[in-house]
Amino acid sequence: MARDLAIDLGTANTLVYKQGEGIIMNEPTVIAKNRRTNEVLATGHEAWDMIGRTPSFIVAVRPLRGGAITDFETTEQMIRLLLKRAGVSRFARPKVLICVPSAITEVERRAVTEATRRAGAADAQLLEQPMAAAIGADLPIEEPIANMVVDIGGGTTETAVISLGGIVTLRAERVGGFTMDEAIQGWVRKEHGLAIGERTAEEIKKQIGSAQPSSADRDAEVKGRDLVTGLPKTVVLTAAEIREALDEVVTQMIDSVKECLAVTPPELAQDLLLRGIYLVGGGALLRGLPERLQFETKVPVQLSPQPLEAVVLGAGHCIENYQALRGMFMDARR
Amino acid sequence: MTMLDAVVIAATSVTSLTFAAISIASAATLAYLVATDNRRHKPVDGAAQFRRHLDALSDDSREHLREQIRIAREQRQGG
Repeated sequence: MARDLAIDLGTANTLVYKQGEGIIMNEPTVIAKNRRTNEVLATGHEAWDMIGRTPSFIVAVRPLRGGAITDFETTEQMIRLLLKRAGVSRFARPKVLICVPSAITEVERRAVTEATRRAGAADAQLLEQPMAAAIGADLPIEEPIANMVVDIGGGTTETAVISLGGIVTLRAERVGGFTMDEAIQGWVRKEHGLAIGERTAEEIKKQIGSAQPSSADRDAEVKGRDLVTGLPKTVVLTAAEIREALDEVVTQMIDSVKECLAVTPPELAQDLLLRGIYLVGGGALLRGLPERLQFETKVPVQLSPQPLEAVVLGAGHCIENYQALRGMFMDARR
Repeated sequence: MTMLDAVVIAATSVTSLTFAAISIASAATLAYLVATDNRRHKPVDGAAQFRRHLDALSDDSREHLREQIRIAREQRQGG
């Protein structure tokens, strides 16, 4: 009998959970294709290594951007490959639960479920990422108290207040880790006249990026192409200027959390002062972000123990209790 | 056995088979009607479903999840 699967189809990374086994796959959401034949050449880590380094006939793309599916055909190919690698075949057809951004459109929703069914799933259901994240962060969401989770992914920042097993308030903003990378690329281009790739920008963010000053601030050397001479060039970036580059994006994220707090019913809002806000997602790992969010909202903030895996682990719990939790899935509530 | 006996036996068999078929069809129809009627009138127990939903999210049911979190943490630390 086929074991059911849970998939966190993130803008940055895709994780797969297999019923009774746990996380069996964790890799970048990237696919490399031959432009001429449209054949898939590589996926995941192998395809990620190709970004910005491919010859003209190969294209390495992320099929999701800003929490939206920008390339349906590639997304379908990727889901098909993922299911094949997870052991789905004509004779082993599992139920598949896919975690998607809550702001996903009706068209995207149908495209994902159809692609999953066509790829061999016996049934395909969708679950909002913040709900899965709250379960995966091991929050007591079944109790009549407020649990606030902020999921900062590659393309979206989603904030939800959950009580009694359901979402009470939800806010989604199309900013995330990749928006930060783009901000760094723009800053380096404008201030230093240097063109850098998205992978380099991500490295800078991880090395010296921060949301507020700290004693860990340091400088980093970055190599790129001089926009005036066209020659390779090295410049030194400081933590303070990267913080300035990221400030607009970080402010947008914090404003989104504040908006969610503003529409939270008062009874639940008072719970949050005691219980605090939980951060999950790769973007939550930006240095100083929990402290800055706490300072601006005046609500205690803590980082989930497994910010990168929380969504898929939460979805995995739903797969293990499929019938009982079916009512949470997006189709069931329509 | 005379010709008349054979005809009587054949006629009896056909009649018995016909009645047997009618009985089976009637029983099946009755069973179907009873089953669908039960289903139609059975109220959807929303409270029980909601209770099951909360139980599946409860602290006790999250034991397996905590084990998975521990494994993920160990893998991250190891990797």
